[in-house]
Amino acid sequence: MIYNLSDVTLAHSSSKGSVPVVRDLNLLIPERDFLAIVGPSGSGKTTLLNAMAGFLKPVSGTVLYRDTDLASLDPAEAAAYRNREIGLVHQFFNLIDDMTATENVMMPLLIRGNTLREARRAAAEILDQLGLGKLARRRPPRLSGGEQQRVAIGRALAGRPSVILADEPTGNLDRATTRDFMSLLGELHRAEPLTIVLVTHDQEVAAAATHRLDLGEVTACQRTA
Amino acid sequence: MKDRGRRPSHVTCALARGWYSSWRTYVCQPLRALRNAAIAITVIAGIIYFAAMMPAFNWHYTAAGQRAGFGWTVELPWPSDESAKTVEHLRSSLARPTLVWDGGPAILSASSGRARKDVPVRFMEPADRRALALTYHPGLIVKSVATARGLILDTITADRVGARLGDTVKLTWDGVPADGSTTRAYRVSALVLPTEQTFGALVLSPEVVTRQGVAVFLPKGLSAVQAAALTRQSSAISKSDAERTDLERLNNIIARNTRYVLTWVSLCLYVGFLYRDNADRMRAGRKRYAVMLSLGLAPKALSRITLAEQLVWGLATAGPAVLLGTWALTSSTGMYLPTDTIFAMLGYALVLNAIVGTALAARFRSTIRRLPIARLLAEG
Repeated sequence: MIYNLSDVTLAHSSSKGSVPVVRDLNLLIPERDFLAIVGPSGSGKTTLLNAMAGFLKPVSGTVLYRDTDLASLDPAEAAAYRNREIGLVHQFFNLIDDMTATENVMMPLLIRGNTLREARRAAAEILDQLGLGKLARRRPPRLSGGEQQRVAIGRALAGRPSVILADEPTGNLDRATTRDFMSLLGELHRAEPLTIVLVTHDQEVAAAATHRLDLGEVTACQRTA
Repeated sequence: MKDRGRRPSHVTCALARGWYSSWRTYVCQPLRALRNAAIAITVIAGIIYFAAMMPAFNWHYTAAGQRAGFGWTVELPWPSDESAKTVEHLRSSLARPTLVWDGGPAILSASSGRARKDVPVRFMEPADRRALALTYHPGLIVKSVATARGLILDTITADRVGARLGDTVKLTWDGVPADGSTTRAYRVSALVLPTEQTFGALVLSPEVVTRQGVAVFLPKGLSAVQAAALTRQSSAISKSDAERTDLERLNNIIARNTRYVLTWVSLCLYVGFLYRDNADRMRAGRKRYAVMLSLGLAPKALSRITLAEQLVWGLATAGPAVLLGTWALTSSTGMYLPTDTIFAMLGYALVLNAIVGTALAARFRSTIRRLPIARLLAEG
């Protein structure tokens, strides 16, 4: 198993204090799984994803990534985990606007310590694979939403992570672009040894996953055909 | 999985990206970059201009200065009756408010034979000084009866050229130094108008105030009308001087303390502006910092990058600001600033920028761990 969540209770801070949103969750995610986490607003989807990304420590229980408790990592280890093991994709893309598409994709590699040449070459390859070769020198404000999200995928994949954590990646995309994006995600999942955990409220998006977790009525993991 | 990974062998590369990112942030968004840079440079230049100009401002004499009193001593070689008249005239003239001033340790008194009469004199010394070289016509000799020539009168009435309170004056007579030695500089310490019956006096003291002085007595022989006119004009000039003059004895202390105070005020303004400007930029960059942390940038590395950003920004604004401020100062006042002074100001600005930038980066370092990364990433 790549992720093992045991009796995890998660809470998020509000003006009224800490509010539990996930209680006593047990979840096993196998390697190379494609899991969609669905549920109504406020059910804790994003909170769960943040816990798996190491941004949030559980109130109780453990979140294990390959038998390592994420809550036990110090800041440097947590940073290394996020740089090497996971790739994040967000609803609002979160690209750095003053950097080109290539430079955005290069960032995780530079943080890791790759040379400029290595990072630039790897970024160019990724962008070519994603069909963005001609847009490599454009900055995000000059890219469409779909293109920006592809760049974000490229940045998430740059470090050859084991896991892609995507929080509402199609939230800002139109229907056609959403289909293209999910098609791309499916291809990547088939081609690469990737585990994908995707949070969405879109049932059509969730249908593209092989597994589905509904936090609105959490009892067990359901397999979708 | 507790693997910190290969220690980045290109930390400088990450730093360079930080600088590069900062540069791109401000250069590749030209309008915002220009606006912010213009504001920063203008404010900093204005503070430098203000601080540099302040010491040149004049201050009114203080009550403490008024209470202090001095007297001048001068030998009067004339017959006693003329001496007495001159002394009385000096006394009455110098007692006027427009001519009051607390000065150095010199004394003005009159002696006739063994009789000695002290005249309390208070002088005013303007803060601005102009160096003049005056050549007096032959016959107008210190400590002697002056002939009736109009030159010295001109120096009293001239408001454009001529000896005024505080002026630095070099006396020569037809090119010959007054005291027979090398040309010596004096300061005009007092002006007393002559009247038809009495001599006037142009009291000079050396640059370094001592008890030694020179009194140049002015020719007498004005008509009452002329004396009245000259009195009015000289009073106007003297009053103007009085309003613009400082106390010599307290001036150095006041000016020095004032410069210190104003330097501290300008320093606080400068630092405050830098802090506010940089803090605003860091606040605006929180989203970017959150993204970089989510990509696996270690908090310590982010601290280094923000420090680099602060220092680069400080360098980029300090130089133009100092140059702009000094240009404004020299072009508006005609003041000459030596090159080493400009370099000193530049160094001062750079050091301040570095201190403020480092302090901000250190403060940011303590808050990195509390940065709401998840919330910032979820924001549009």
